[in-house]
Amino acid sequence: MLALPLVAAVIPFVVKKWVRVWGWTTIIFSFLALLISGVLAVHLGDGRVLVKDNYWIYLDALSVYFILLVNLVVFTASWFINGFLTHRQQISTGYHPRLFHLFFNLFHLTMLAVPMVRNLVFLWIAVELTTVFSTILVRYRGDRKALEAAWKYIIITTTGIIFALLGTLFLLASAIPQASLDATADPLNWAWLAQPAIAKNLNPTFVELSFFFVLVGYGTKAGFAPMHTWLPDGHGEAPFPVSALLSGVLLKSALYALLRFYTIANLALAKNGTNFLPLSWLVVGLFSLGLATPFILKENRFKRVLAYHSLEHMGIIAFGIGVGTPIALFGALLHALNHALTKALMFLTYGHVRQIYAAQSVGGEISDEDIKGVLSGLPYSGILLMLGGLALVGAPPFNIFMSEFIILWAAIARPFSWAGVLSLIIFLVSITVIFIGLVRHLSRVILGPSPFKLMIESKVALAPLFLLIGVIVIFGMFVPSVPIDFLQLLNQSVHIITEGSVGVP
Amino acid sequence: MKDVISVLTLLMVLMALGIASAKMQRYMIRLYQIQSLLLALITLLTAIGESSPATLWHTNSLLTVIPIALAIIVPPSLARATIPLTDKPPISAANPLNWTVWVKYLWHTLPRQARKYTINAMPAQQNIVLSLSVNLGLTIAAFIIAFGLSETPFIDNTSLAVSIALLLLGLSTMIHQQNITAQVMGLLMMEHGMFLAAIKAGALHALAWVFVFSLFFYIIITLTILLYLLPQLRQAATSLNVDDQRELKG
Repeated sequence: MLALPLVAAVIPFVVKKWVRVWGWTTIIFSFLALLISGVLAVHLGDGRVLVKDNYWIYLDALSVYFILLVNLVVFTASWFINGFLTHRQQISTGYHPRLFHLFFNLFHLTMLAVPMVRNLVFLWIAVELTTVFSTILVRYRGDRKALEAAWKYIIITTTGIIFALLGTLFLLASAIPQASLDATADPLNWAWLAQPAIAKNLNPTFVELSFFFVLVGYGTKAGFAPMHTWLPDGHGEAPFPVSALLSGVLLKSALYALLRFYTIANLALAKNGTNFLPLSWLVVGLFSLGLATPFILKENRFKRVLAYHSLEHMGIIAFGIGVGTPIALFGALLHALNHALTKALMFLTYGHVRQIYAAQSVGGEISDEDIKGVLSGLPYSGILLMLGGLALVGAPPFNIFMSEFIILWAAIARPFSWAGVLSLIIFLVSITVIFIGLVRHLSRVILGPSPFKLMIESKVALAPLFLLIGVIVIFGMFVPSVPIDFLQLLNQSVHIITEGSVGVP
Repeated sequence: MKDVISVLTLLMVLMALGIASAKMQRYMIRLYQIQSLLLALITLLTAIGESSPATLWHTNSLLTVIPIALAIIVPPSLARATIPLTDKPPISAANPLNWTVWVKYLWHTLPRQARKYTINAMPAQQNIVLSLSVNLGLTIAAFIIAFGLSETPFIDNTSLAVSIALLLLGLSTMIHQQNITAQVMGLLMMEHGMFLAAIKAGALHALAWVFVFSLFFYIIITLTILLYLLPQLRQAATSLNVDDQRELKG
């Protein structure tokens, strides 16, 4: 599976003239990757671990779940690359198709590597590589704003991620005393560290310190407040297929890394009865939610509003993990997928609309204020934006409603505490206010008269988005078990997070 | 030997304080180079004295090369990045395949050209007394945290304190200095802190290699991207001041 994006990245350098072939290659190869990940999920069946004896790779249900998530969003985003590059060619600035395909596919490769590696330092390298390749994509347009966004993105995330390495170092070094007693021990291997018998003997002070640094480090990449400042700039200035990946998948890759550390820390600190872990998640989650609220309410460019929405949803996921019960973890994992699908839909539809509007205007560029009346100018895209927006704010019968409801239910079902009630109130108030804020932004974009007369839209171009909205509605009504048993996959993933690895590879 | 290593690690903090409070970028780079050499020396002494198993000392000594390599690579690379694309001096004076041409270009032509721009004069709008106070406060905080922890089996408290201090001072440099190249220096200083933690925590066990090489790889890749972006940023915003990079707000 890892070879597919690598081959797709190389093809533009082998087949030099046909730019559209490069686009189709990326689509086909990302589809094949999606297909393989589907096969992996089916093949996983009742077992929780798929690959455990390989030196480099460790695949369990949690890995497969995140691989599926990555491939779903990448495939959908890849569909829009040809259109995006054609538009760039027409306006003749920032047109480097070979570079775009190369880094898009390398970005895909690194995001696939994150949930596959078994070594915690390699995990860190894979996460860092996602930054490297995506920075080039963020600066793709090459103008001042894109450069500034790329600069802020790399400087903030690389600074943050160094703390994740410090956290990894603390965790592994605290395992050295145990590892030195066993010649077969591998203290860099997640599966070894996540065994309850090993984890419970780790030094609790250093495990807490380690988790704190890891939360700061990977949390910066996951877009948690207050380390989120790169997020609106990066998402706002990146080409729209890349924004979909940044918001839909990149944040989840960092979340995946955090979950792996959380599992070890949870097992290590279980005997102490400390509130450190749930408290850390709850604080980060509620702070992200609270901070996103005023930024979603104020006047802003729509892509930046969507970026602040990512901050909100990452906050909801962190809140779910903080609640900590299996139901809440189920809800948080489901929310990660739901947010990825919905945000990809929104970024891709809005980017598509913006591109068509720009093509109609003089000079091929358009400001955000001119994008209005989409429902009357581009009815199909307008409907997609409307449905996607409703899904994003958590309206029924869409997927985000389902996962938010599960998290809320899990939070209410916890034993009574004033802190719990307070966090629940903050959670409810934030999501209600954010609901109002996004509806206001959405109505500005989709309602009213369009500056251009009714435009013809290609149904083929929008096909994956219609498919996506279908999936979003399905996940809003139930968690499907055909063709992939998501319910089982989610249950197995929750089990891995709470119970650790199943055996020593 | 342990006392010598402790003194050297404390000297690293002094260099870090100097970097974090420097008003001239030229001094920043010099202090960074001295800090790199101190780190190389610590790595060598730790390899000789604390390698586990002891027979690994000669292999572990090779890690000394990394901070030295960075001390050599960073100044000309940074110089190159501070020059606007349009003012970049050409390399084609002689045969570009001749390596001596490249050495001369990287070591003399570029730094001299760069001096015209930011290497000499940095927009040091910071209040030096304030920044020194903040940095001293951070250093004390790092020592309090490290010595507040119980004695650990894998790292001595002084090394841990110095590592945390370097991370915090690097972060402070990135926040307080008003120039983008100074931010790069902050990042490099943080990398020194991590490097020190890695070699001391692993006690040059096999684990240290994985960490140190990951770090080296991280810093090289990140530097490459940063140095690729810097001249373009300079071109677009006409300066490398942080205040001039505020097009995106809200």
